[in-house]
Amino acid sequence: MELTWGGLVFWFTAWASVVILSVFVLSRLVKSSGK
Amino acid sequence: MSNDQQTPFKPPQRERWASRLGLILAAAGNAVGLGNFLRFPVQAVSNGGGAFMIPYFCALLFLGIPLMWIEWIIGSHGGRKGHSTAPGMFAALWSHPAAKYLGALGLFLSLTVMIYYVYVESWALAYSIFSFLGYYSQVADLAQMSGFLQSYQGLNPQGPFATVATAYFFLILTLLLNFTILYRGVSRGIELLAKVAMPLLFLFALVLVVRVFTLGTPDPAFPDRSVWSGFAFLWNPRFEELANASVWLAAAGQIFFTLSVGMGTLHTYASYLREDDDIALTGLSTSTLNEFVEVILGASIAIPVAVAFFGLQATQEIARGGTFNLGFVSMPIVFTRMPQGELLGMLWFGLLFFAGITSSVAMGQPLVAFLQDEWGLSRKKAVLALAAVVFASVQFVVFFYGYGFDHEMDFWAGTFGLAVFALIETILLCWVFGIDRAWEELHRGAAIQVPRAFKWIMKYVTPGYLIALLTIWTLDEALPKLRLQGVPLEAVPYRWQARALMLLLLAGIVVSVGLAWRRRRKA
Repeated sequence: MELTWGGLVFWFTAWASVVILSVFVLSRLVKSSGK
Repeated sequence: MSNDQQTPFKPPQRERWASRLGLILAAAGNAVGLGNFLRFPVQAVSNGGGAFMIPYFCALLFLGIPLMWIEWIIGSHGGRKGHSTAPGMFAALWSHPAAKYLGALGLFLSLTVMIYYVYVESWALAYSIFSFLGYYSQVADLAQMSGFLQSYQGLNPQGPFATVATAYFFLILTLLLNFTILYRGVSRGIELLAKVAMPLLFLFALVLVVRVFTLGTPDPAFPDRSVWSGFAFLWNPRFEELANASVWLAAAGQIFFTLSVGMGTLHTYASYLREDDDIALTGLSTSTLNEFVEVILGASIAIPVAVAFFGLQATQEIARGGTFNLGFVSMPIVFTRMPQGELLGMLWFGLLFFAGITSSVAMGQPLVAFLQDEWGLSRKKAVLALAAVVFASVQFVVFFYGYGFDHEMDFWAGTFGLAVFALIETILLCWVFGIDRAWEELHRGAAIQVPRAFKWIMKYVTPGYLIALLTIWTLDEALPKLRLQGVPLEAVPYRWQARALMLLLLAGIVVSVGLAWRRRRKA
């Protein structure tokens, strides 16, 4: 089975969503711990 | 109306988390479990591949994250009133004598799930050691490995284990570890465990993911069997399956299990926060950490590696066989065929064990806290009482495993019960206590401003989602299961025994909640 463009898009989007959320949360945690 | 529920009841010394990092790791450890590495990939390939992520992220947004916040609010509010468990917390939200009994369900669910969960957790510990010692290295195929597992479970006397004694030994070891951690308390036990186990879990998972990505095509004789075929199987979307309601249900169910909501465990963890500790960001952090482990790490191990070694058709069969089949049958075979398989196998089962124990101690803590807070028992006595109940009950799970004793508990407590409890707590917080007060509680000391849309989601969408989920589950699954449809005749008495045990546990908890409140009134 070949990885299709659709598969790549879903894979990338799922990972990107989680990474973006992680970066957002991490930045807020760092910011709030500095207060 | 009695006013006893509103009386602030302050135990002598409330335990606290030593650090925010410890709290986040402990709460994420509660959420990250066997399901992140086994259940999620199986659900994804069985329900539309990449397209599964559409209902999955919808469920996360409308069900998972709001429920997570709801439980953090109830927990921190209850903690300030001196309660660490759902009965007292619900009574603090709704001054009605029935409130504490609704909360008793939270104690029952976490206790019941713990009873069968520790047994599966002990398999992971055993298999980690078996892997390291090369104990199953001579097992050649899936059928033989399935026989190995059945033999370990005491169901196949012709296999390498003549009796269930080995499984029993690892169960005792797992129980001892769990209760030692609970005995050491919140900061010196649970928090310390999370600070050690969670980084190790990440490290083990990362090593395995890197190994999977560098695996390529392990057998050149089968060029179609590669990890990339595995990723294609996992991520190529099958949009036509989105028209099937069961796919949306599966996604909602997965979000429920993965975040460990609806069980009464998060409430207890949240109750150990300080007065103005942030819950909005902490709740979001634990959900995010869990999603990172599930979507990025959990999805990248078992299924791709199974396709690389067994091919697409066999992996579909394995996935149909369920999560244990994937984790304890196909993965050990993979390790026997890989260089440094003993080490990789130890890491795989080690990470499953760490994922398991950080969840099972979270399930035990509400009962310990209840006995301490509401009955005034010392921690030692509370842990011993819980240990006695779990030890007595798990005997049925071990010795009647072949009759689906655990399946009965898993459906009624670990599946259906979670949704019922989640609906109750959502209605109590957002409708009885009031969404405006709940919103205020959420933002007490918060480092982030939650988008106002979530106020509307928590009040209308989340309960609506839960009612729809419960209605369909009742019609499609609960009623046939209640009638024991499809259960082999010889297993029927054991299924009834499982129900009797659950009713006994529920009755015992309800009575002890009632007695605790009566005792407090007299005091």
